[in-house]
Amino acid sequence: MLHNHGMKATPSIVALALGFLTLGPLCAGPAQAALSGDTASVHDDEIELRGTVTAVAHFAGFERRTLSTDTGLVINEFLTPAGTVFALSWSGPVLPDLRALLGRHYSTYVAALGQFAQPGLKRSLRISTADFVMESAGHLRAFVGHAYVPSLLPGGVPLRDLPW
Amino acid sequence: MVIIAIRRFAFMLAGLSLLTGCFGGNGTTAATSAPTSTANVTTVTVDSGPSSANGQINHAYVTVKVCEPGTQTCASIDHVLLDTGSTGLRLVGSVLTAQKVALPKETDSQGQTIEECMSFTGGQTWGPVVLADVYLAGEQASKAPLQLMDDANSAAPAPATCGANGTLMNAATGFGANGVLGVGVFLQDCGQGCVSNSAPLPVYYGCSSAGACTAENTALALQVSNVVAQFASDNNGVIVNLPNLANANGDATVQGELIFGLGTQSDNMLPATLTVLGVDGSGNFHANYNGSTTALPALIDSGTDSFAFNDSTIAVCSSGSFIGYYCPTVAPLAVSTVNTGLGQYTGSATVNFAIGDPNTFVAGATAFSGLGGGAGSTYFIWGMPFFFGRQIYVGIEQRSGGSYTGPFYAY
Repeated sequence: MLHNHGMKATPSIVALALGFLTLGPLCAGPAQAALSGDTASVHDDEIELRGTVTAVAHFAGFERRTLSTDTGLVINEFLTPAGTVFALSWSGPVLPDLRALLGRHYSTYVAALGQFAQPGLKRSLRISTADFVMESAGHLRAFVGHAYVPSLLPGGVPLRDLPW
Repeated sequence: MVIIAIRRFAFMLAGLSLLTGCFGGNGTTAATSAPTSTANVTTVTVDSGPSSANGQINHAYVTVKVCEPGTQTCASIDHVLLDTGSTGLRLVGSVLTAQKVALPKETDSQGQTIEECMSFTGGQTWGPVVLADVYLAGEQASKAPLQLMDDANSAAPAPATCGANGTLMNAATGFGANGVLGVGVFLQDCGQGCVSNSAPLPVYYGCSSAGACTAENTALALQVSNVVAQFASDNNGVIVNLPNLANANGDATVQGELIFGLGTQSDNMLPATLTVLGVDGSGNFHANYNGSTTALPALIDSGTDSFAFNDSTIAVCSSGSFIGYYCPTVAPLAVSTVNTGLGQYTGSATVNFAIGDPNTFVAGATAFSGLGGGAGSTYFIWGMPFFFGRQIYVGIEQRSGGSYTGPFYAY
């Protein structure tokens, strides 16, 4: 059982990759803990996300924090025992701010979009690189997706067991 | 294909009679509950796309005529993607400008222009909501709100939050079409969620004359709306009717029809045997793929080029022009999915289908019946291959067609 006392009782969550701090939008939209972000960049998300941590669940080898925003997004962050976000999932009527959410992996995502044999309107996509996997699908009113960093998966945690 | 401006009424009439001549759009002999004599059929073409974005596959296109409201200053826009998975009309701005059509912008109560950030998976369209008289076959939607995809950056620039989910895809190049005609199950693209949310969704924005845009709630009547629902008749849904392909390895081009109305004319009656799938408030029914116990959100979506789902046991093409799609080692690969309706119509039905091997596809063909996508595992999407050889019915919310009330998909 994971016990990460430093994070458990506070609404703040593991926050932004440094890259995002300089790139981020002017708080017009939500910001979340970026994928691969760590505890050294703890940030008060209640302000920027305009949402709250609504649930924290502990699993063997990892922790899941659930954030709910007032735009109806539900975002799950999966944390290693060391406090690194190794996976994320989202669902809601709109897409989350993926630039903020994916952190340093956002450029990988955009590069992968540019390499599709058939660009344009899509309703479902899967991007798989050595260090970044993302599945994103849906339409206005119902987007559902997740992303993870294979190299950060805690030992002994099978991917298929992640409660997205 | 060349875009042809139609500026004279006589030309327009000629075009309409040509369409009805091709398809025998309106019937007068069969008994209907609310017969109309409006030409209600327009041509659907699957081909390689607009000249500026050639190379498309499994894209179904229609031609849409839009006019400055109340005038005969019109543009006929070819290669508008027919999309049963979204709601509302969106047109590439520079294509309208090339035909010297300038559509008036909607404004909010403060006099700011209303602009929209429409998210698709993998990118967004951005631009002002404008008003146009929209003509399809003999049908007309007057002063319909549509989105201008502002590829020429003629209006307020997209806020930082629009474009943060991939890339802005306002231009025909990259979007693969001169626009998109969303004929989905809803009356508006966003609906109630964009009307009164305590934190306005990042969809509609009020933009000042200085170009500063702020997300704001927007009344239903001002949202980009389903133009079919705004027709005077034949306004309760559509039928997409595409033939079976001649060649399992791909046809060069395919033509079919988009029929407006359900049960309003002799050509759009609902058959006695019909699989009707109700959808939830988000527009989805459920699908269980290949015996899985996981019920995935699902839709019937002409805007998706493939059977789009995730099956890690099927090999993904790693070379050629179909990278990312499925390349099963033994093809065709037989699979199946159980569809289950939500909302008002909750029946289940199994669909057996097959995934082909793109390595055997004919070069230069644009329509493929067996194309499967290496897509995400969070949805199951019946894309274009599902449409070939079927009549697909889309019932609009709050509207009745035959004995059914939308929202629903049926086949």
